[in-house]
Amino acid sequence: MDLSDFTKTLNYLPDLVRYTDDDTGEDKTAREVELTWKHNSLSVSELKLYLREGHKAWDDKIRTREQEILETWMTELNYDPLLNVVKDKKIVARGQVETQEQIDNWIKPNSTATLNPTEVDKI
Amino acid sequence: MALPSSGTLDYSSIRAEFGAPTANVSLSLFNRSGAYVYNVPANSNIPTSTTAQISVSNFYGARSKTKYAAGPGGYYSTGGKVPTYYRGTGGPSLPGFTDSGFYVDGTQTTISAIYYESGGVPNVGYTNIQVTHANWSTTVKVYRNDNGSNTNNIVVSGGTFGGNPGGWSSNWWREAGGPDYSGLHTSQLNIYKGF
Repeated sequence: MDLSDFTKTLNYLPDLVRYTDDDTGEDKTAREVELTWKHNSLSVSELKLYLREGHKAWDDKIRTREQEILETWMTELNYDPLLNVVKDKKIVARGQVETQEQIDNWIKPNSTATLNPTEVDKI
Repeated sequence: MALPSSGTLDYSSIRAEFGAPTANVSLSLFNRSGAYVYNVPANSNIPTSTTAQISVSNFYGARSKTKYAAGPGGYYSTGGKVPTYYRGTGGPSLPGFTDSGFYVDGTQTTISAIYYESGGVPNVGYTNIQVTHANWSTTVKVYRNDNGSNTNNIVVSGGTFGGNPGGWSSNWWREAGGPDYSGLHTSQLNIYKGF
């Protein structure tokens, strides 16, 4: 199932937050941002992340939270997380066979000669 | 970046430093060695237990995970009559980094390996570190996330690799015949601090 049809909104909160800038050692203030993920068609929770504007791990924290949210939605949609996983914003079965090459390799391992044959006298 | 070490500190600043999933801040969400806070000296005032008494003042000077790298401290032996041993994170048959963001030399970089190897013939012993930013010098501190202990301090020197003391060969820092960093295989999540 494709979960990618969601809207991510960014809302600046009114109060400033404090932090210390490592480079200068100065105490500074910044705006706090509320990010909201809302799915456009599925009946799943609206989930959020609160982060300081200009945080050094801004992209990383948003990416991590988004994956966490997609996994939460997967559970809310009654997919068993032991059997399923979110990959590229889609719910896919763990270990699912997707290509003909995987099938061929299961029927006859190394059928595509991924590994070159070894001469007996070399072993 | 970190939280200020004095002055007023509110829930919003804590929430915005660590990146909280809800508007209603529960301080116990940010227990040390939990999902948001590494067990490093900067966070030593924050309780490890989610049920312990916790207050805003525990968060003065606390740091989010941003500048630290982390990965399980593993161990691998090649086996055989003259085995080579590897211990650390990201090395041959060792577990990889779960958080590869590594801050060093004033730069946000990516670390992919930090491990000690020994054994073989001759048994010299090598320390290896691979990052995307080369030729810096500092002391990389290693902490166990489960108990916060400082298991090793790896002294990284600048210049070109030449043995002991170590040096750089492209994006690898190597040292031959240096100290035995035996504490790298903790079987726990190791936290690596380079700043």
